[in-house]
Amino acid sequence: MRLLLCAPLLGLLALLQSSLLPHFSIIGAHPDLVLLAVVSWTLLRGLTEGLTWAFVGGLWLEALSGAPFGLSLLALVIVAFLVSPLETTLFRQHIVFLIATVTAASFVNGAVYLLLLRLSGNPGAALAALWRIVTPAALYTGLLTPIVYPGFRWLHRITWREQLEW
Amino acid sequence: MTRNRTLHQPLAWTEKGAYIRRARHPWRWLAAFVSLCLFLIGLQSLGYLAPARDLLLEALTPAQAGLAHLATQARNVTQTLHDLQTLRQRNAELEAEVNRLLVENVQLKEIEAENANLRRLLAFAEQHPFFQYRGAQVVARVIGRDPNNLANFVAIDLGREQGMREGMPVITERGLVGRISRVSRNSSQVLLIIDPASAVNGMIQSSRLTGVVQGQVGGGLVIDYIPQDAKVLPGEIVITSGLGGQFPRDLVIGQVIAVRQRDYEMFQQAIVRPSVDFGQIEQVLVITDFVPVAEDEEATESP
Repeated sequence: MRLLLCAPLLGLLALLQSSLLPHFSIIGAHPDLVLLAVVSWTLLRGLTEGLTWAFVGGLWLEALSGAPFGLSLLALVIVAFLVSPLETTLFRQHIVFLIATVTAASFVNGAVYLLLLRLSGNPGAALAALWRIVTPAALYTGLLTPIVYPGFRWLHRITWREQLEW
Repeated sequence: MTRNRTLHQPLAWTEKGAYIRRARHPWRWLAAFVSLCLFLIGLQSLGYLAPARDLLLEALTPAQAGLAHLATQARNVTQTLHDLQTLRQRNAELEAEVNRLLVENVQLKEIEAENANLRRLLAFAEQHPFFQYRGAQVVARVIGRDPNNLANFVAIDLGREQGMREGMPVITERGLVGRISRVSRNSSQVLLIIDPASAVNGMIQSSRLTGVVQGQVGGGLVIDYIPQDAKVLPGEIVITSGLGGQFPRDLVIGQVIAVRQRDYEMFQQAIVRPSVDFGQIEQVLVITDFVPVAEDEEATESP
């Protein structure tokens, strides 16, 4: 059921990221909506759902991308894993914390992607790309958090069934 | 959620004030998902995922085209607010004129260089395909860009059904854009020359020095493998050399803006500014009558 929810939603976000957002790029970088969704959901729901969203979102990105298969997918899964311990922090709803987390996650995603690109045999100035592309994209994605995150929180509330354990 | 949770199971705080179960053994979860990813990468490299991807893209292409159209419209409206109609029209006319003159200039220089060569070699008239990239072309609309900031691909609205094949060169009136790297039924992915995976055999127009024009992570272009003793100056035009048979000759790639020469290296490099503005391309031309060498050989070998 949860997959039925996340697959079309992430597909729509990937489509927007591919078709619409490049028209609103700033200094050559556009925000990473799918990553924002994955990080938000991981903070709200924890590791297993975060990894599932990362996997599904990564598959959508791979479908729309011409880059070597698997790089976006692996980078997103790793980012979801790294973000998941923050699920337990009490500040996770604080807007500054959210912006900082999403910005850092986006930066790590770019860095992991570049590392995987290098490992797969593609040359290029990775450090320059980190500064010129990954950093602006991370900041742009982070700044979108206050607009997008409340939507995911709302979705989390309406899909979450409180289950008492005790 | 299970009722027989052990006391050692880690807890997490939910926003509604209750405790939920956290995933146990996070490393195992990571290992499981990474293994799944690697399995899919394996399947993709063997070609098993291509039909599923084709099917998915087939379904997504209309939506992608619609969104691209919407984005273009939105941008046009914004632009109209800032520009007067007459200024825009005049600007477009001048731009078209500049493009025409740039192409004409390149062609004239090509003719001049060729004439000099012919005279020097005492060769007789040889037909030079001045307008070879004016051949069989089809206009395609860019309907999407790579969702990843670090990859430089665009999606166009023509695919296998419209005669697109892998390897076909893609250009605009300003110069070389790239080549088709993947074809689906009604859409194709174009690998831009600024992507690190792209390498084009190029030539500096005035000196006829050849090299490999390589894309850079971040969208730059570098022409590499220029001999150390050769003199390369900023401002020189870089065109395709036609060597290797992957691209037609004489397509404009860009202009040299800086030269990187280190004494301890075998070759020097030059940084090239692409003639095409890759951030603004909306329509491209696909050269359909050019068959890359590898494809040609495969066709010859097949019964």
